[in-house]
Amino acid sequence: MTPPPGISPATFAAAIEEFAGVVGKAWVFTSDADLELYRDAYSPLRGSDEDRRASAAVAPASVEEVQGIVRAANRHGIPLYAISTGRNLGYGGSAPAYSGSVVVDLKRMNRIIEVSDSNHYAIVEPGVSYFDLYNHIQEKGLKVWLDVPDPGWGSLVGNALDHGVGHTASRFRNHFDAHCGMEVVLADGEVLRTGMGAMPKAKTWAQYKNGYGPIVDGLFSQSNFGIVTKMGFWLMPEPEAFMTGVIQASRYDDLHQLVETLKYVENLGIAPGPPEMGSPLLGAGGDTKTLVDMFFSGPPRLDKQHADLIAGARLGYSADLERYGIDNRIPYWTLNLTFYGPRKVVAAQWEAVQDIAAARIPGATFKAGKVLTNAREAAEQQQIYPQNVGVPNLEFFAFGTRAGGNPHPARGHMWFSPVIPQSAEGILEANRVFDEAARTIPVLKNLPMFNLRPFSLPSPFYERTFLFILGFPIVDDPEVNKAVVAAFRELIRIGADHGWGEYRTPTIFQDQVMNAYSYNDNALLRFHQTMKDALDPKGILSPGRYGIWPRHLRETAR
Amino acid sequence: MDGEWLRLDRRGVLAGGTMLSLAAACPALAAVGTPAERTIRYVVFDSRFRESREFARHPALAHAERLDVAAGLTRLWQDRLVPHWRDGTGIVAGLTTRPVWDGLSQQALHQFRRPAKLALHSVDPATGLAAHRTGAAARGSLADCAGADWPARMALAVTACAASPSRADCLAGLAPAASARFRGEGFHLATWMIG
Repeated sequence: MTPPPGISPATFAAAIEEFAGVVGKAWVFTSDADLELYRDAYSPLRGSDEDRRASAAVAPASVEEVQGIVRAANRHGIPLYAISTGRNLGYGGSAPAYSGSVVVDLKRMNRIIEVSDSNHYAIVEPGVSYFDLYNHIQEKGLKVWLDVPDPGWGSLVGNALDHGVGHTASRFRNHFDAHCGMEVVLADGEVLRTGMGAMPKAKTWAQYKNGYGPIVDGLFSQSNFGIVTKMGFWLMPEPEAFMTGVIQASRYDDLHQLVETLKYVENLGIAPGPPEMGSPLLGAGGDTKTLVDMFFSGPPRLDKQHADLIAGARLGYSADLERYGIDNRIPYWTLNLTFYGPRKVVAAQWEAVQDIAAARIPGATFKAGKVLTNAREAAEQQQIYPQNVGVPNLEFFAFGTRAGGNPHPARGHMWFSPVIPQSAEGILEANRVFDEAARTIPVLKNLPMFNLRPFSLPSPFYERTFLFILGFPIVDDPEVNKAVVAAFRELIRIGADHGWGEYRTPTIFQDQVMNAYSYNDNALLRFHQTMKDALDPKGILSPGRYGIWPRHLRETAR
Repeated sequence: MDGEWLRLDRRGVLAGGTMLSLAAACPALAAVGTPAERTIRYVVFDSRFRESREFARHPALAHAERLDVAAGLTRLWQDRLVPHWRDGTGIVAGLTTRPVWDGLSQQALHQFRRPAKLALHSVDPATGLAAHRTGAAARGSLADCAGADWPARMALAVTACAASPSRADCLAGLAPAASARFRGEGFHLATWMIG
C-alpha cells in the first residue's frame, strides 16, 4: 500500500481500517491488481511517473456509507476521488486528478429509486448506467425514453455532472439541464438535498427544479464540492413516431443559410432532434450513423478525380470541387434533422422545415426518412442511429480513433472539445485556425488528429452553440503520446486566444482549461477556490478536479 | 422510496479466490482460483475474421460455449455475459478486434470483474501472418509467432493461462527466439480473458 502524498503509512492504514469498517473489507481495494482498474485506460501518460494512480479504492453501497467514508477521510486528511462508474473515457476515466487519492467507487450504489411514466422522470443513484435504466424501462414496459450519450455505458449521474450530452430532443440532450433535484454528501459528511428535495414531505423532487432560494445544483457539476448520491432526470414521453429528414445544399456558400436554418428551426422548437451536419462532397461525416460506419470501415472510397479535388480544396472549397458536386449530384452540405411526436406533428414539422429551408437556400433538396414507431426495432434493424431514439448500444464503441477503419492503431483517445459560435463563420474560422495550426506549428505537425481534415463539421449536441470536437489517438509509443499532450495544450492555448473554451476536457488538462476562463484575473476560479475552502476546509474531496484545488495543494500540486 | 437494486456480486465471487489481474503479462495473471473459476466458460469470437474463427473452434476450447460478436455485441453482452458476470464463475476468453475487447472489458469493470489483455496481433490480411505483442503496453515484450496457425497457439495459451495453477509464463510458448517489431500494419486483433 502506497499512502497518498503527505500521509504516513500508519495514518493511511488506520483510514483503510475505518473504511473497511464502513463498507466491509471486501469492498476496500488496495492490491496493485485492483488499483490498476482505476487508472485511466486511455491515459497518454501511461508508463510515466505523471500517470495518475489511486492509493486505494472503496466502494460504498449507500449514502450512509458514503457519509462514513467522508467522515473517516476528514479525520485522517485522506484525499478522496469520487467516480460514478468511471466511464468518462476520452476525458480521464476513473483516475484521480490528484495522484494518490482514494477512489470512492459508487458503482454499487445502483438503485433505480423511481421512474414515472406519468410525470416522465427518473430518480437514480450514481451507479445506475444508461443500460441499467434502459433495461429497467423496457422490463417494466414504461412509456418513456432515455437520452443516452455514446455509447451509453456510463452513469446518468456522472455524465450529467461532467456536462455530458446525448442524441434525442434538445430538451433532454443537455444532461445537466435535464436533471431535476439532487442529493449530495458534503465534505463534513452532511447530506444535502436540492430543489424540492429540501422539503421533507414534498412529492415533487424530480418535477420542480428551483425549490426555494439560490439554485445550488450547478455547484456540484464539474466540481469537487460534494459527492452526489442521487439525481432526478426528466425523461421524454415515448413518442408515437419519429423520423429523420435531410436538407441537402449544393453550393459552398449555402453553409451560411444552412446554419441559419438549423438555428431557426431548432430554437423555434419545430426540429427538436440533433441537427447533424455533413458534407458528402468533402467525404465528411454527417449523421452519426454514417460517421460511425466510417470509423468501422474507413473513409468513403472516392474516385480519384473526386479525391484529388478534395485534396486541392482550401478550407473545404474549390470552384472545381463545387462544380463536380453539382454535376454528379453530390451535396456539398447536408443537415439531418430528427423529429419526434405524433405522426401528424412529425409530418407537419418536416413540411414546415422544408418550406423554411427552401426559402433560404436556393436549389435545396430534401430527403425524408421513413416514419418509424418502434425505437427498439428501428435500432436493432439499423434503420436509425440507436442513440437518436434513446437506445444504448455497445456497437458504437469503436467510435473515435480505435476502429478498424482508422489507419493509426490506438489504445485510446482524447477529445479536444471547444465551444464555438453557432454560425457558418464560426465553423469556417475554427477550421481555418486549427488547420493552419496543424500545418505550421511544429508540435502539431505529423500528428494524427481525428476530424480535422479535409473539413471539420461541428457536433450539434448543445443548443445555441457548436462543439468543434477533434480527437487524438493515444498509442503505445510514449514519445508520440508526449507529443500529443503538447499538441493538445497548444490547441487549448490557440482556442483560448480566439475565445473558444473547452466544455469538458481530460483530467490532465483541467488546470489549463480552467485557467483559460480567466476574465478579471481569474475571478471565476478564485470564486471556486473560496467555495472550496469554505465547504471542504481540509480539501479531501477530489482535489484538483476541474482545476479546483484546496488551499493546501494550490501551489504545489497543480 | 425503496427503489430497485441491481445485483452486483463481484466480491462474493472473489471471496472464493482471486481471478485475473489486469496486468497483461501472463505471469501476473497467476491466479489461485478454484477449478470452477479457472474454467473457460465462454469464448467470444468474431466470425467475420478467419483468425477469430480458428481460435474459437480449437479443440482446447471445445468445452466452452462460443459467442459470436457478429450476431450483435450488445445482445451478446446483455443476454449472456451480464448474467454470467453477475452470478457465475469461470473465465470469458476471446480473440476479437480491439474495439470489441475495449467494449467488453469496460463493461466487465462495471461488474467489478477483471479484464486482462494477453496479446495484440497485427495481421497481414493477405497471408494471415501476424506480428504479436504480449505483455503490458509500456513494457512492450515483443514476440513473433511464425506461421499462420497462431490463433491455435493463442487458444492453447489462453487455456494454459486459465487452467494452470501456477500460471508461470503461460505465454512463453508463443515467443520463439526471434522477435519482430509490432508493425502496425494490416488489421488488429486482441486475445484476452476476463475473470
